[in-house]
Amino acid sequence: MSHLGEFEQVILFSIVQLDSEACGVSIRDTIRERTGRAASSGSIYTTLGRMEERDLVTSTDSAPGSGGRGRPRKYYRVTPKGARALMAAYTMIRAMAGDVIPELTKLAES
Amino acid sequence: MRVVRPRLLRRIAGWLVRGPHARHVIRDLDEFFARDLERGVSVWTVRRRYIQNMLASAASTAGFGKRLRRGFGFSWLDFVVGARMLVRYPALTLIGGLGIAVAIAVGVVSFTFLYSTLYPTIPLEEGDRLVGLENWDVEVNNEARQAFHDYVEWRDSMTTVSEFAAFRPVGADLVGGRSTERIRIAQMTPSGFRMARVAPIRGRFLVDQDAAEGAPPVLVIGHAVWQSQFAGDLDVVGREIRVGRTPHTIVGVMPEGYGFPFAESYWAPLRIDLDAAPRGEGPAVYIFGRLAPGATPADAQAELAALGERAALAYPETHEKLRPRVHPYTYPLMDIQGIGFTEVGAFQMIVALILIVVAVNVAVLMYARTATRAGELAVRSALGASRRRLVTQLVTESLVLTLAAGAVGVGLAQVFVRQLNRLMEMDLGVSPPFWSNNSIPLAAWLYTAAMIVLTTLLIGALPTIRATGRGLRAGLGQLGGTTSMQFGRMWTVLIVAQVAITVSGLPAAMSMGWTVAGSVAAESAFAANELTSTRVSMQMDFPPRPAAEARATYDGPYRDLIANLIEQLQAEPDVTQVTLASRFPGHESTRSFEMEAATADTDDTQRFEARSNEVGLDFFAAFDAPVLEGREFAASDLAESSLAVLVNETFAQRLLGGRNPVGRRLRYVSRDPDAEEDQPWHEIVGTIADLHVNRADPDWVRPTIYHPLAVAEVGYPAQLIMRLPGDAIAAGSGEIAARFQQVTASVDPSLRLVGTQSIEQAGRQERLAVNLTLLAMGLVVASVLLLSAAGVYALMSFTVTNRRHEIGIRSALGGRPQFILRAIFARALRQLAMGVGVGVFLAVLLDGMAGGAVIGDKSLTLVPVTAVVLLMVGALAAFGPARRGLRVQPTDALRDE
Repeated sequence: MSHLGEFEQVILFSIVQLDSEACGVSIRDTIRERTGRAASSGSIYTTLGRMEERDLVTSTDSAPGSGGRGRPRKYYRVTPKGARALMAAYTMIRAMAGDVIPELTKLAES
Repeated sequence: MRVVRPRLLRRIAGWLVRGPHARHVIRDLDEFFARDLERGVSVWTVRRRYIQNMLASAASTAGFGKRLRRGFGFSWLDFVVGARMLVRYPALTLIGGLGIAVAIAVGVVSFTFLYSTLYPTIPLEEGDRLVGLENWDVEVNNEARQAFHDYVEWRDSMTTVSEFAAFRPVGADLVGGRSTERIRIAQMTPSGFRMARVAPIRGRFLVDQDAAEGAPPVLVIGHAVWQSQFAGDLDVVGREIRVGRTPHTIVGVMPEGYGFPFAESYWAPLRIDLDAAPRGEGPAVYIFGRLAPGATPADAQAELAALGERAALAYPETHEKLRPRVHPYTYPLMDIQGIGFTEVGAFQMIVALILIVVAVNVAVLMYARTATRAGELAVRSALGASRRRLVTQLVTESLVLTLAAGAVGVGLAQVFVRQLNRLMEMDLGVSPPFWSNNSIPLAAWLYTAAMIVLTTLLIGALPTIRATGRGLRAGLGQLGGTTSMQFGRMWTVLIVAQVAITVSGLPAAMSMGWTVAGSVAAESAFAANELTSTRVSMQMDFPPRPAAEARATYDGPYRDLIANLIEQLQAEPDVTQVTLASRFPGHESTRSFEMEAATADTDDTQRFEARSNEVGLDFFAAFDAPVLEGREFAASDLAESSLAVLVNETFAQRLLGGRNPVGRRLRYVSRDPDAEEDQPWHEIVGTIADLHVNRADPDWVRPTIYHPLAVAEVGYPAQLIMRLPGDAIAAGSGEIAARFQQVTASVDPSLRLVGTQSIEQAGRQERLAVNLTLLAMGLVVASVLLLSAAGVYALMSFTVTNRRHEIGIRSALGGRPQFILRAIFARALRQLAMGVGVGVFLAVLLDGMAGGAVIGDKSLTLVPVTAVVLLMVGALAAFGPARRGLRVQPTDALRDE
């Protein structure tokens, strides 16, 4: 089972969310909208490249001109392996969080 | 519309961002750039976002550090060697480092201040799409804010600006919190809250119904006053407080840090009542809006200009000279509409010049240091190190020094920025705008980085390129103790220029420092510790009525109360005098007037400008200001028909060349030429000694005309000046202020004393500003002097090292020490003298061109003093190397051969 870092999980969730529209620009927008975090384009592509090597995502180049500004765009999809890894990571976090959220909230507010 | 493309930025991105994904990253950068522009984000913000994303992307792409190292050919070891050099040459580290740090600090403070003012980040959702809209009166070249009608027209017809709001700041007394105090309330259309998109933390914000006619008065408060005035009361919503005489219900509390639109803590609804305000009249308001999706500021300006032209045709009597404008949101609020990039850029260039001057000085020192290492460089070269490698090594060493100095400089800048903000807050008496913070913006960090690179190139590359040029291998000879490097023509010019700049610039700096320091040390001509000033405010209805109506309603009762209050205060045991003044000394308004000619045989009149103040009968007695000529005001001068005036000593000195002004007549000149005849002639009945109130700037003593002020004519708010024995104030100014407040309330509960403080206390605030200025100037002057001395020292040391052989041989041949010294140092002293000569010439020339304004009346003293000081500094700097030179033993020198 592939271990996923936090940023990798965030990116995988965005790709799932965006379905067939997941490219660098839209992934960055989604992360910003949902988390308020301004990830750099470089870090997104580096992480995507790494995940592609690990067969967690696949990419296809769009034809030049489509989707904007004359240069090809790269679209990403989550592979079954990537989906399993993300599911495992999410399940683990949920299992760990369990019933400690109220306690965690209290600690954070103290 | 002009299409903006990030050509240069894309080139930089192409170089910085590498790796397999580079083209996709750059494509995305371009897309974000184009998309932000389409959405109407300002070009500056779009560029800033591009740079942020580019730098972060570059840092996260693989092998960035490696590429950087390969590109420049440096090794991390160079940094270690550079750090060791800092320790090994502590004098250069301290002197050069201090100079660079101060110059960088000055540059960063100036840049931060200008950048934060011109390109602030508004911490609100879509804050960068907010704009300010206003009418600009082209005739008087100022804004025209009485724009209720325009506000409604713009709001209803503009499509490029989708949300509109208006506000005006109003002063009022707040009663009902922990203490009664004078506050500033933002009367704002409820749409302002919707525009800010910030939810209240308690209750609600203002809604349109609150601004409807007959709606119950409500107030929204900020987090800070909720804590300070209402002790964080969780049930504050619904609580009733009095604003002026009108009870208001608190309906909401805004979160911490929220101060929209400027620096607000209280908000009341602003009702746009077009019936109450004819076009071009009514209250002055600030209007702001948010650009509609897809609209740019240029689109909004075009649409607004068209509306302005239509209004000028429809209402020529009020709108013919008005040109509506769209500004960045903060500009009208900060009153900086006229400032552009050119002015700011020019100023920042001048500031950057300081760093270049300092860097040139440090370059001289670095060259001297490099000279001592000629042997080492030659060996490295002989072992195969390329020239590029050597230059990189030495530049990296310089980089270590500039990085260390840059860190100190940024630290200093942060302290200065914080202190400056504090001073502004104290000086203006208002909190800084809600978008300001004490941090240094990203752009200023980039500016600092650019300054560090520039300094490194100046102090590192210049000397090392010369040091590693032709004859490098000859440096092998230095292994025997001498150097083959020369102080060529370039260095001669640099040293002469450095000394000249010091001599020409220092007198002006010293003159300023002298004036400022002298003003602090100067004793007041009156007992500042015994005088307390205060203003008397009266609670009125809120929202305030138009000024003329209020005056008619309140003036009579107010003046009666003031007369009663003065009597009561005079009866207080500690109070020895209570007097009135319409303006506090030093804060009078300037007016133009004409004065009759001295002799009766000519009817020529001359025009002058002077400050004008109205003062009570005991005013001069309270300040211990004696009558020098003529007489003081008498009770008969308070009669309406009396036209007697007094003038101060400076008036007689500056405007009449010291002649006695008593008996001369003067009258004010109105800007309206038709009204001139209506101005009455006043007769000067006496001369009074100057009041040196502002010790930070003695020039505040200006020619001043005093008119008698009767209580029956006092304006609002009345300014009272009380004299108490110094020990009474020292015993507890807080207690005295509280007691005076009680006395005032006993006269009438609606009266309150505002801004009560002793003149000594006010002086303390001034002194803080002065001390900060002195510290900054002292640091700059000390750095320049130290660097000059260090430059001369470097030159002398270099000469001794270079001619060690010659000294030894001359000594061996029986040369007398004074001749040897003269021969060795003649060149250095010639350069010093040349620099001093050019500097004196420049100083006198600059001062002459500025009409004596640069150095002032001390130029005859300061210029020669600076020249002598610099010669002495040079001589002292030469002392060490000279002694070392004379100690060279002939046998040692010859053994090195």
